[in-house]
Parts: sequence; structure tokens; C-alpha cells
Amino acid sequence: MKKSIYTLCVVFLLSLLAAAADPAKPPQQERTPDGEAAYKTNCTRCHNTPPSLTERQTRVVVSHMRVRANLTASDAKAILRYLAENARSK
Amino acid sequence: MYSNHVVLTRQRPISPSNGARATEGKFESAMNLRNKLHLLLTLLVAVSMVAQNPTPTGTPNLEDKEKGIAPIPVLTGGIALNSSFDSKEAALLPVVAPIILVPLGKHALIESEFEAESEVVHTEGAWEPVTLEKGVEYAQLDLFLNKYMTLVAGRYATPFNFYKERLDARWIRNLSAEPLIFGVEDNSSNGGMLRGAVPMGSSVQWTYAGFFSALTNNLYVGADRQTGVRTGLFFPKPRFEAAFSFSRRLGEVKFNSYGADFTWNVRRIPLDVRSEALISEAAGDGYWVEAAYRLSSPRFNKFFRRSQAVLRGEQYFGPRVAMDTGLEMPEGDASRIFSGWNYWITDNVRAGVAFGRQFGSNDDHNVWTLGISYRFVR
Repeated sequence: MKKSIYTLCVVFLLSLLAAAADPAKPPQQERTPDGEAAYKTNCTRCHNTPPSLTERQTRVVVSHMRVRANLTASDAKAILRYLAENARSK
Repeated sequence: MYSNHVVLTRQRPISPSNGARATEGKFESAMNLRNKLHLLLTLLVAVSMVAQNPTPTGTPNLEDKEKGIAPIPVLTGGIALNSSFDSKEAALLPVVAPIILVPLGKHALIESEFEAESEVVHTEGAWEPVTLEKGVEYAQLDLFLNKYMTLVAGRYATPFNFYKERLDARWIRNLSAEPLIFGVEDNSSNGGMLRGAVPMGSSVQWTYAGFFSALTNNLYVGADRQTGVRTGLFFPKPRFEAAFSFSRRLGEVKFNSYGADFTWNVRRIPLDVRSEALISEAAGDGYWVEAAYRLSSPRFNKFFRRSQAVLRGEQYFGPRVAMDTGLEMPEGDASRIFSGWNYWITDNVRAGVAFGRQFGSNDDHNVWTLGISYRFVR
């Protein structure tokens, strides 16, 4: 039982390591998703309309939602870019 | 050093009495657990250090031209006034829930929500004393360790199923009444959590959140000693997510709870389908299924395009083992069906009305809810 737990932990950590630390072969998740598509895929699952934010506010809110909604880093980045482009100036 | 000391202690030849041996057994067990946690934490930190890309990958990092725009603290949240009417009582439920977000550089964020909810109840021809429930929903530090992992420390919403984390805010939930099984996830934890999302190809993402909470006896930031995990798969193209949750209470009353949830946000039509299930000997079993249809089609007039129809069905079955769990669950078995209507007066102000019929082991009754919510960002 203990060995199984350790094995699972090691496999999990090694898989994360392998996925994250191989710059020579970017995995598929390195794609740059379309911002509007990423917004519609993720944000509109719970939210109807984006609040009117400045770009600076948008950065913080997207960071908050990355944690709360378990967004991938690439999706969060694309959403940020999309919302920043449409942010109100201030 | 600490680990070495523990190993030496375990190997010391002694011949204790039965009682002492049992005590030492518990001690060794605790030390083993600590060793494992230390090992796991060390490995996780090491992985996060190695996995950091040469170029920053945190959310705020955009193109070079955008790097000069620093994030600023944000005050957001919501105010709501809900009411509930059934055959026995009428209740007014004003809620205020401010949220503050404070960025710390590019890889850290402090976020906190304080919620105060009052309950004004009129029953049997008289007003009851007004109660005010207040507390810190979360006050957490988020560290973006790498693209796939965020370390959360402090007080956070317990990640069991999804309603508490994603739909609890009054300006987001489709019906003002929480699901019958919500009591098992309506709590916050004090401790640490590792969470994130890992793309597995272009068509599926693996999401996870594992946590440990320490016992805290405090009026505003109380928490149970518990541990658990929520893990699931999200399919971006059909916008379908299914997840499994587990939590174990480790306080004086020990019990397990198992949860399952799914959300499906249909792309072809503006229909959201959500569901949660709970299995727990001590907390009870139950499920709810909710469908929400936004009438956003151009063929509807302006009023309907700002409207949403909601339908929810749910059942709850009381615990199979009698325990004092401290959870706010329904008294006895219950089934309920709700239909509701939401209308966005503006993008930030929403009004909603719902009618439900509850079938309980004690009585059946109707429930009307009426409410308005306002979301703000400053």
C-alpha cells in the first residue's frame, strides 16, 4: 500500500516534470489559444457578461479566476489578452 | 535534521509495556505521516523550481510591450437582497460580500472575501430576532509555482464539488436557494492547497485540487480538520467537465464524503446543465440537476434576451449513521423541484424569482423566492 502511494506520487511528479521542463519539444498545450474562444469556453460557463474593467484590473481579475476556475496558464493568458484589448481605458 | 531524528528514535531498542507500546505506535504513525508530508512537499517544491520556464509564465505576463502595465488592487464583490416565502415563514436575507484582490508581483496574489448575511424571519405572526452571520470566506495567498500548479495558503473555500467555489456568489448562482446537499461543501478550510490544470492534448484538460485543513476554533475563521481532493477532466470543445471529490473529516467525528459533479455548457444553444452528487454515511446522500436556458436568440425581443429560465430537481436522503457532524443538512429526507426566472436589469444588476415545491418526510410545502443582486468592481 505504501509502495503504491509512493509510486503514484513519483509518477505524478515525474510526469509534471517531464511536461514542464522540456523546452526542446513543446507539448501541445503550448499552443496559443484564441482569446475570444478561450473566453467563451471558460468564462461564460458561469458569467454572462464581462464587467467593465481597466487593463490593470483585468490582470488581477484573470489571476483570481485562474485559481478559482482552474484555468490553464495558456487559457488565462489568452483571456487576459482578449479582455485587455477590450478593456476600458483609464 | 528533523527527519533523521525521527528515524533514530524509531530504531532505538526498547521494550515498553503494552500501553507504552501502543502510545509509541501512535507516535510513530504520526511521525511517519509527517515524514511523508515533508517528502511530498520537498518534491513538489523541487518540481516547481525545475519546472519554471526561462520565460515567465504567470497570468500577468504578456508581450514585452505590455509588461510595463502593472496590476493594481481590485475591490469587487456583490450585494444581494433575497427573500423566501413558504407556508410557515417569510424571510428576508440581505447579503454583502466584498472581495479584495491584491497582486504581489507577477507570481503571487492575495485575495479575500468577507461575507455578512442577515436573516430577518417572520413566523407565527411575529418577527424573530434578527440574526447576522459573518465570516471570512477566504483570505488566501496564491503562488503561481509554474504553469500547472498553484500553491494556495491561508483560508480558502473547500474544494468539494464545484458549487461553493464557482456558483456561491449571489450574482452568479441561478437560483437564490442553495441545493439541499450544499451544507456538506459550505465551509472554508485553513491550511494549504495545491491546485491547477494540465492540458492533455488539445481536447482535454486535467484539473486537480488537493488540500489539508487544520482545526481552527474561531468565530470568523473557523475550520474543521480535514483533507481531500477534487479532480476532474474538462473537455473544452463541448465545454463539458466531470469531476470527483473526496474529503475526510479528521476531527473528533471522523467520516468520509464522496462527491461527483458535472457541468455541460452546450455550444449550439445557450443552455447550461449542472449537477452534483453526494455520498456520505454521516452527512447523507443526494444530488441535484439544474438546467438554465438564456433566451438570447435574436428572434426574442429585448426583454427576453435579457432573461434566463431555470429548472432544478434535487433529492436528499438523510445519513445512514447518526453522527454529530456539525453540518447544516436538511432534517430528514427531502425532494424539491424549482423553476425560476432571472432578468438582467443591467449587466451588473439581476433580479430573479423562483417557485419551488418541497416534498419532505415531515411535510410538503411550496417555496417562493424573490431577489435582486448587484455586482461591483472598483
